[in-house]
Amino acid sequence: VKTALARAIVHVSACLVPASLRARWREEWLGEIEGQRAEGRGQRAGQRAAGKRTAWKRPRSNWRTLRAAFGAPRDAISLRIESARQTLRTAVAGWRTDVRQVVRALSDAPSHVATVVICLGTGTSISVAVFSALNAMLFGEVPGMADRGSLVRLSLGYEIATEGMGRGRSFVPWSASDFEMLDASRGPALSGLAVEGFWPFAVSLDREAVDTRGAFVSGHYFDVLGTQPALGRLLRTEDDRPGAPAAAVIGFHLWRDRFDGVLNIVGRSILVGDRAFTVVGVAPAGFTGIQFADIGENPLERTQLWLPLHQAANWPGVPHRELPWLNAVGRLAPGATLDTARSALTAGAGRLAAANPAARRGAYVTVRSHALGFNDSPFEILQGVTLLLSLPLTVLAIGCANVANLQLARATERARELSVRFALGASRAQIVRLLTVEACVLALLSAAAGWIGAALLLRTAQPAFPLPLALDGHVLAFSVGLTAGVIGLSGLAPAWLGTRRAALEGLKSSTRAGGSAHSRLRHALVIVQMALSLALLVTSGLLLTSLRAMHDNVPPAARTTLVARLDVDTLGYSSADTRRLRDDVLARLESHPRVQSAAAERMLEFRYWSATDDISLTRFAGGGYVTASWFQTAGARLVAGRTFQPSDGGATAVVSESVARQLVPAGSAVGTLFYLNSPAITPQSRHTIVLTRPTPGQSPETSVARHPVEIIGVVADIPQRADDPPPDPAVYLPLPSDAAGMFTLRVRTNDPDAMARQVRDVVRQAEPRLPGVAVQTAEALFLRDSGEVRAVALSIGGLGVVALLLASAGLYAVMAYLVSLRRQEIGIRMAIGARPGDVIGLVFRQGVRLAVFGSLAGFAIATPIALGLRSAFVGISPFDPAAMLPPAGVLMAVTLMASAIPARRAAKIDPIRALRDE
Amino acid sequence: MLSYTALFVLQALSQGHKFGFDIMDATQLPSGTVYPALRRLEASGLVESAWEENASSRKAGRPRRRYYQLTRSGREQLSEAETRYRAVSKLFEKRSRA
Repeated sequence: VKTALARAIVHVSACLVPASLRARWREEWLGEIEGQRAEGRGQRAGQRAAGKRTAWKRPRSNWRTLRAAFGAPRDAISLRIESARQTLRTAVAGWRTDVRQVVRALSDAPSHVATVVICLGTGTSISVAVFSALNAMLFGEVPGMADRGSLVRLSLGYEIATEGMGRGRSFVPWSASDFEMLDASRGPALSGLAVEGFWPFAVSLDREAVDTRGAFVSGHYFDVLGTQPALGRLLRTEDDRPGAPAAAVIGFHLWRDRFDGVLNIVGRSILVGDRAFTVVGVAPAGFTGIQFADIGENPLERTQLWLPLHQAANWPGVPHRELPWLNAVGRLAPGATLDTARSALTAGAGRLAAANPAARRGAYVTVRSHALGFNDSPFEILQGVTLLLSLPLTVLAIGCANVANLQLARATERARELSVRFALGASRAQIVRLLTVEACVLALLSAAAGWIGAALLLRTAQPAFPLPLALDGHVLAFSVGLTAGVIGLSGLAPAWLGTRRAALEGLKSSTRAGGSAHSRLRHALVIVQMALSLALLVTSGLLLTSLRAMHDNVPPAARTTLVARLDVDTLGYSSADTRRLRDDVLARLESHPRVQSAAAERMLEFRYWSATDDISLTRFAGGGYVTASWFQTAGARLVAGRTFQPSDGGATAVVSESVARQLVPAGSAVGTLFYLNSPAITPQSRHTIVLTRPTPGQSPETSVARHPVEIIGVVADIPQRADDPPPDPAVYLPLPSDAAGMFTLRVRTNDPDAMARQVRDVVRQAEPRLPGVAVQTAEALFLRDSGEVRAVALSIGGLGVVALLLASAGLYAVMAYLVSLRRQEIGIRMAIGARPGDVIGLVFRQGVRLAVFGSLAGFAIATPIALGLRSAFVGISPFDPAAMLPPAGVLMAVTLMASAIPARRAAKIDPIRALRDE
Repeated sequence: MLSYTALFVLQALSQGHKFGFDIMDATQLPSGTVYPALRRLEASGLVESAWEENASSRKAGRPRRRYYQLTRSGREQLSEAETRYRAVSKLFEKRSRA
């Protein structure tokens, strides 16, 4: 029994021994065990024959044999380890030969190489470009800012009580007095602290004033940011003292683009509003203050003028010392962390709360790293990065799948070559190594192409991007990781699958033997790719349809109407000043020969009730306060009653048809009384800053002031926005003559392009100090959301084109593969009389069948998308032939192109050779 | 430099113990040590192996045995190692006397 057990151990252990050594190994061990047994028997027999104890030194028992057999597993394992080492050694050795062979093989298949490089290079370059843009956003250099990593953004939180709304916590900017107190008690964790407060300015150098956004900044501002001037010097602490000479720093872009880059700008005097400042220096190119510009935004639209903060004290309209409007930025001292900075500022915040218990109750400071952009939580950033990267990585993954397909097809074409290698004694590891080297060479070529593509993309995108885009170490690491992933996905997997086939089939079969499961999977992959790219193209087409519908929706009056908002708040106007300016501007405009009519408006939102409605009913209407000529200017069609006369005032209203229907479902609404809560635009309501919103579940109000109003006229609904087809219900009230604050000019003209400048001039003549008069056509205002739609449509369309390109490569791979599988069959067909045209038709039919399935699946995907889009965009119908047929046509054309090369190859098959190979 | 195990196995072979179990008995080493050591020594060319004649194994009524013997370089290595180990042991004698 013990010997049998020992034998069993040997047999089981033999499974661990490498197959090539197994038989000999088993024989050796069994030989030993059996020899042992035989010797024991012989020994016992000898003893019996001699009748005496022998002098045999080592009496053996079966126990010893059994114990010895336990060494067999160990021996087997050590053999297995040794053979694995051997395999590794052979796998590593000889790669140089492999590279040579691969280069030779690839140079024979330039079209294969080109397809692979395009497939992978596209995805790689888009991924690398997107990654480096994200990298620049999060970690890159910011123009005019030194060591971004140690800059922090600070905001203040405290409890605020608002009338009727209870108490709530709020994060707000700083007031000037907050800054002074916190700066005085900031401690050693922050090496500097500065604030900026944005303000619109009109700046002039000799000539006409230009509008620009500017900022009042504290004395340390540029020191904290570490900005270096492009010309002259920047603002210093001594500029920010009362009584200091009025100094200003202008932005590089303002200087270059608006002041023609005049060389002697430093020391010149400029007019900001109506005050003279001396330009002491020019900020560096790209610098726009703490916040950098958005992608695609001209730096001119950001801060381009910096004035010392003390100048804000008596600037018209600027919030007074106690109002929060300043953004704070700090520089961490060497060795300090966000936490130490936070705790250091907590002490200052406590002092703030103690000094001003009414307004700064429970004050505390939040500290965020500037390096992480503007979001609060790293998680959000991670989410954003993942979302943004997933799109190009999907494209890359499709590319990888395609290349895997291509490589598989190539491996099938090379099955015979691989079989010969096997037959000549190559191990599977060696074949896999050869194919891996091939994948690596292809991946490196693609990575190089991707890197070049990314560099070109970045160079193209740089003008629209606020931060310098560079291919740095982070990007390099990302690309290396990406390339490794590409090698794994597109090279190793097909290599493994390909050699399995070759190893199994060896020389016994021809290349015709094809795994039908494989090809079915491959067909499915191609159909899915086509469907996705078609769905993307259809979506893009639908969005473009919507864009056209938006342009068609523009009301005719809007095309010839100009709109300009006059922000007189910044000048500290009284209601009498406002009225004077309004009357003056309107009179000048109405007398202009090109102006058909001109009006002023103040658009607001109302709540309204019928005489019988409950007060808790929440129903909103747009519209606002308008002058008598407004209806004619805006092209509002009168439906019933009359519009305002200059003598109208107080409790009369013109309502839109939708409001009239709500209030009086049947019959004429003219003469009806209804109730309105009108946001006050009287002088007392100015500078009211609402700091909190009511918390959910809390009623914002217990009583509402309602005013009875009589309807004197009904006008047709006026659409306000292109993306919102049912027009807002609107209530129009006569503009009170003592209305204070900003108002908007509306000018109807026969020549909007020429008049835009005239309107600006008229306003400037009436009030030269007024900054920021942007004159727009009502059409542009109406289409303000179309830019986004266009950008989304174009980017989805672009992605669709790339996806289609990749899908066509996938299709090509499958067609080439099918042709190679059907070589003999095609040979036979040609031998029995098929002409090349028939063979080409055969291949094309197969491609077209895939495309038809792909199109059907694509429409199946696109339909729910279209249904979803219909609720968000104007003018989309789910079965719009204009959006559906062109992409399908493109898909079909691409299919025919992708089938053309395999078809030609099939037609060129020599029947004699094909049959001889059989 | 030979390990103790390898040295013992080589010594056993030089004293005429020819196959695995025999070497185990002579060296008092377990089979899980002796066999891997034999494989290593054979791979590095200090030991060679030969299979027993079919006839003799049939006579004994068992599978063939694999016999190991020292190669020339195995003998050289062994004598070199023995000299070295002897020198080392002298070192210890001196120390214990002192």
